[in-house]
Amino acid sequence: MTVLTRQVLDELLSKYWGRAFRDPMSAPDRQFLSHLLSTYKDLLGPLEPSPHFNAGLWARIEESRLSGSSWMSYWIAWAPRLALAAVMVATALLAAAPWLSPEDGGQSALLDSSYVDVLARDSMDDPDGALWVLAENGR
Amino acid sequence: MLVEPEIIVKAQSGDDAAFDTIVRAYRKRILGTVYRMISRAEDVEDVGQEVFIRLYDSLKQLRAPKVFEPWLYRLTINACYDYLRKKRRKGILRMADLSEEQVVAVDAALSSKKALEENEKAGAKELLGALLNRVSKEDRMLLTLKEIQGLTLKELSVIYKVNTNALKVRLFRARKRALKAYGVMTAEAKQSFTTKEEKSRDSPD
Repeated sequence: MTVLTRQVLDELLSKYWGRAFRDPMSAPDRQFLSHLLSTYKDLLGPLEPSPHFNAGLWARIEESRLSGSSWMSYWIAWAPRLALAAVMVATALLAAAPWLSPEDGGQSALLDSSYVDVLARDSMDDPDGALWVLAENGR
Repeated sequence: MLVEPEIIVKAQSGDDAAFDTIVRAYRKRILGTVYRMISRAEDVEDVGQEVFIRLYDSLKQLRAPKVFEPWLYRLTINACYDYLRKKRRKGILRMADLSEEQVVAVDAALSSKKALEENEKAGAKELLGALLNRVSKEDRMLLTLKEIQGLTLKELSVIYKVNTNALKVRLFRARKRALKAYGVMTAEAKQSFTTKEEKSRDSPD
């Protein structure tokens, strides 16, 4: 059994791919980057929290608690009014439903006499349209 | 772990004193991590507090105290992501925007042949921060946690929820991209200084 060593890998790659194995990142590159980042770490140094860190944190937590609870109290206060408004809107819609039905609602507006007059006058270039409107009006 | 599991359980049940103990135990470590990730000292405490607020809001979802630290790291990474996303929208620092002295300072910092003056340190820090700004925030986080924070692959695999082989591949790619970014930055800086020199030579003064 052939053990896949670096040499074997090189031979295989040369045979089938036309070039030897090349480490995509050389050791000096890796070292350079590690050095770069460790230099950065040294330059940043340790960071001590300010004396007010915890106090500031608790103030922010309290603020978020209050804003959360104020939203809740807002919803609790407005929920009955919103429910009442929804019921009123639903009642109004149900009451207006016969007037808004397509069979009647659309035609009644069209058969208003002044509207028919204007429409008939403006439709003189289109006799068929004017005749249809007059016929509908007279029905 | 820096705190006993019982403290975490108490904090989960709404004990504010226990939560305060957790904050005191971990704040230095979290602030250090945030500082290395965002490299802006003036914003570190703000982001650090954001991490602990998120912890406070989500602690009840923690399944077991033994996964507390990876959980906290994830919250830290996410808070830093959000910060960097906002900052990136405001524009990034380019190496060419820095002074020649700052670029020279990095060379000095890397050669480690002499102790750096304070102003040189500031320049080098800014420049290396600019390099990390050049890579994606994902690469930045991974490199910071591995190379700067010194986490092991095993610890990272718990945080990222992937196996160590996948992490090795990600790290390799992140390193490659960081080196490429460094090359681009150096080329830009050289170009910038050459242009400046040419302009100053051409000017009658």
